Amino acid sequence: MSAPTTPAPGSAPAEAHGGHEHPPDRVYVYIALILAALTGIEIALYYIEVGSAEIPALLILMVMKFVIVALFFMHLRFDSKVATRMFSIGVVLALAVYIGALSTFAFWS
Amino acid sequence: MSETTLTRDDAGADEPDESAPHSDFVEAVEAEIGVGGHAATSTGMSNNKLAMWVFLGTECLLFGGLISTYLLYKDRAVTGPKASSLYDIPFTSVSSFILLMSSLTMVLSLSALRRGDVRRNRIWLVTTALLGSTFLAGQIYEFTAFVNEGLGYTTNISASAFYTLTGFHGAHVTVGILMLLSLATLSVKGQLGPERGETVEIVGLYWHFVDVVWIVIFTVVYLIP
Repeated sequence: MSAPTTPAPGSAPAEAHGGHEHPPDRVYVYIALILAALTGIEIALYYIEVGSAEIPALLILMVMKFVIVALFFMHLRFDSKVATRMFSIGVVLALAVYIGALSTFAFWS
Repeated sequence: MSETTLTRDDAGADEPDESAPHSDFVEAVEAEIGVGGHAATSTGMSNNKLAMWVFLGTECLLFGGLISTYLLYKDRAVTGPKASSLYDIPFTSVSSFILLMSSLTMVLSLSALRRGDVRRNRIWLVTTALLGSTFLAGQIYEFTAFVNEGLGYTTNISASAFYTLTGFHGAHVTVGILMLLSLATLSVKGQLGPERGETVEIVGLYWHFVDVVWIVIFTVVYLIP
């Protein structure tokens, strides 16, 4: 077993969040504004006629919002890589299983 | 964790040095059980937090299944209206925005606790719970409106898939609100200080996950024609 990761003595507040640095509150507010703007674009796309580009554009915006929340609000950008791996495995596995399942039912045709 | 039991003698504390707040004994104990009572792990995070991440990974499979089922059945309504014909996009957009902003208040709550600002932490926790409750109230209103339009749970297979998907998400929001209110209660009792930041962080992870799932549902179910 590898050596335990123990924070330096006397670093209790840092230990409470795994010893990782996190951005100040104003960064979270900026991120929320970006998310709000992306949501606004999504809703606009629903009403504006953009033809065949609509679905890819909506999916791209969805993925952007998903990744931003996961990276910054869920702290994956600052946390241990193990957390990213655990969550990514779930997401990738779900995508693979259900894209396969939908294909089996000829959903794409 | 090692099977050896640490005693003061083991750490060479026969002659304690009162001037050193972190004696060899304290360092040895911290190396054994971690600072703050959490077991030290080789993953760089506590087992509780790792368990939450694994749980969220499995939740992806649950919601993936529910979303796929909805996609397969959404156009297969033989009787009654299709759920998609009753969507009120402006209303759902406002609900989505509210849930998105609750993620901001959640992260601000954790940030306040890490600074040791317990009062602000409590305010943001309650705000998050209120925003979540508003979202939930919107979902109940939507369900009621759909039922009044003649779309019950068993009206057709499309309705069943829609209610099951959004209902499961609503149930997750409800559990999240209960956890947030529990934290707020602990805070009022003075039992939620900076030393329990990880507890708030773990509840926050669950809450943000509920938000990202709705990001997917809002696009795939409501916006994509």
